[in-house]
Amino acid sequence: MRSVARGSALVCALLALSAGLAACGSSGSSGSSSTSTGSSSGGTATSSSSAGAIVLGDDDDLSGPLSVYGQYTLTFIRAAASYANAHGGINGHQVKIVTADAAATGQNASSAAEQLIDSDHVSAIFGFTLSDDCGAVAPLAASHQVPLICSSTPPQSLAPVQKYVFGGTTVEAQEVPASISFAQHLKVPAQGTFATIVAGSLGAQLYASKVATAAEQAGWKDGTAQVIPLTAVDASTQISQVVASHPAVVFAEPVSSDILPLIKSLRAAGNNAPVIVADASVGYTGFTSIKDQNLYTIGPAEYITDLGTAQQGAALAVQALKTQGQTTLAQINQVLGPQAFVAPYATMQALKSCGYPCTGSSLANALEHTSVSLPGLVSGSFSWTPSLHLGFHQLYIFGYDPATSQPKVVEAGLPVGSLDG
Amino acid sequence: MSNDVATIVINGLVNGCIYALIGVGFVVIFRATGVVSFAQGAFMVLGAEIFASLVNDGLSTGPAAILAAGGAFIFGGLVYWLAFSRLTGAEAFITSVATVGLGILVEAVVLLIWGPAIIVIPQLFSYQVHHLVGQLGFSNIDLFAMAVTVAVFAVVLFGLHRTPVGLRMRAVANNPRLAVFTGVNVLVTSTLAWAIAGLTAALAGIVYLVGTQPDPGSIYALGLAAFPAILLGGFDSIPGTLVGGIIIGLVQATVAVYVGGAWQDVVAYGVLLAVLLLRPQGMFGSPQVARL
Repeated sequence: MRSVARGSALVCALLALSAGLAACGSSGSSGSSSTSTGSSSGGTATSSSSAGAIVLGDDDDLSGPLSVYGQYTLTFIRAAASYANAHGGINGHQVKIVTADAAATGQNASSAAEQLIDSDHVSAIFGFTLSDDCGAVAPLAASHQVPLICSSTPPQSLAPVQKYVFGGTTVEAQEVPASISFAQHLKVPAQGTFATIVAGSLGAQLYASKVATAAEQAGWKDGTAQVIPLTAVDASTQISQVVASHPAVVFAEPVSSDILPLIKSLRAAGNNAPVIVADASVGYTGFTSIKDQNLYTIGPAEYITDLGTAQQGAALAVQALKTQGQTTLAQINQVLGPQAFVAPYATMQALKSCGYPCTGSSLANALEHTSVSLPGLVSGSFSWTPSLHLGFHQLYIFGYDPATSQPKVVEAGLPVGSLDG
Repeated sequence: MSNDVATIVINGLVNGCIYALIGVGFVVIFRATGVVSFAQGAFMVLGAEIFASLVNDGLSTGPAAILAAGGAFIFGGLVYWLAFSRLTGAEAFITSVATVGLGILVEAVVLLIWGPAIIVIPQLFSYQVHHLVGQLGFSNIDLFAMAVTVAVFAVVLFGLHRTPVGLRMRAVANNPRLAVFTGVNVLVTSTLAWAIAGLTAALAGIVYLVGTQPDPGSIYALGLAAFPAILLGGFDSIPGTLVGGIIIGLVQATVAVYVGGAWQDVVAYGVLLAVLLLRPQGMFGSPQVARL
């Protein structure tokens, strides 16, 4: 009995310690709860009841297999909040970010959102690496009149417009016309074979389906269509199938870890076909490490390649990210690049225009009439409208520049497509 | 050999080897201490991050792998000696749950040190495929994965069955109290088992890292992905882990080729459930294995 009692105590101690460290690992948030560790500099919440503060939530995978994306988004949300706070707050009120880990044990995106809404009384919720999570939380957000700004948004939550769902970036299907036109620009031979290889998320599979249809209409032949489950830890079989189909062009949106073996396997087989990756999934580090001149990615925001940039939008992002300890180009362009800064920054601007307090339908209305210009980061302007809750309207295509060993803009100003591709 | 069959054989074998490499640590700990360790994924992350740091600092592959695996060996032993040895006598369920906390703790510390970004290393091995028969061929990365797996299994099996240390580990696994009476130091033996498990997990992390650009979270998840293979082979059987890993790898590759990649994990966990229902001890395991 004694040893069991000691054992139980040790188990509790270990779990408590690990929970504490997990909180540290998630950049100062509690693992599954949002009202925790405070930091005045980072825009982190001390309490939802902090007098006069504007409390915004983040509901995302802050632990688990997708935590790289959740942590990435959170960094940029905090950067935007810190930037606002460093400039006097929003209409004199400090912004506080509270988090709820959708991937924590016993937690999911809906219960995490309930926690943010009921306990923390947030004005809006960012996050949602998975579009499925955004869609699942949308009814709850509508019933409580809390706007969601989703990193990934399911098309059915955008058309018809849902008052409280806003897309933080493009929907992959919107990148289909740009994918096809760029492949044509690369002079992929007529009657050539194309392959698709995507992760098993809703948005990626929709992209694969739409781009395959468009590619066939453009005259190319369907070689293979591969899906990599989100739970899979290895895509070698799917990659082998792509290589075996001898594609003249590959349209892809795998998780970032699968891009290196995809490219290397194709090149090792003597296939130098262009690989066009949707949703900015290659990432800055991907370009600088893979160094392949026929690897391209489509994204709505520019990479920052000069820390001393004079372009206003890029300089602002650099300054904001510095407050989060992100000071190198690799850190500033981490994971999917600085596109994750744009929607939180735009939300801060909407809150500013709305006055204080601004919640519910007032905030949703303000978001619908927000337009921000961030030169060096966004082509054109980022603006949500009452008829379209997607802010990015133009796309970039990036490739690898061996002269600078960095990604470079290959094409800019490409119009985003419709939600159905 | 058709291209599809070659794809299945190659990827099934390679992935099966990675599953087996992950699984061998689970089995070593289970045999020696009766604990199902859910912390193996975290040890994989630790090994991969140390290896990446060393390689990126200019150390060559071999020394970097030895240092990373050696570090995980020491860390694994310390974890048991300092913490889990105090749970001796506790129910296996409690100790196994504690390994969940250990895994989260180790991963959190790793994230604090190295961050959550993808782990990038220089290309160490070529992806060039060496064809054996028809379409059947292996890249250097494939060969590296299989060679490490074979070496690890050979050393572990030899150590367990042909050395005094192995004899003591088997004695502890069979009956810890009786082993004590015969002069076996259970603390040292169990510490060694945890150290070996740390080493093999680190090697699994390194092998996985060499062929991809994973983030720490996906390596951690890989630690749990080996469970269907371990259960199929038998939770206390080291050769069974290898056989189970290869079977699961081949089944997943077959499903990915003929049915679709979206089904490969469904089938793997379907196998896991079927094994639990029909033959809980697995193909080569002992029937008395406790189930959690």
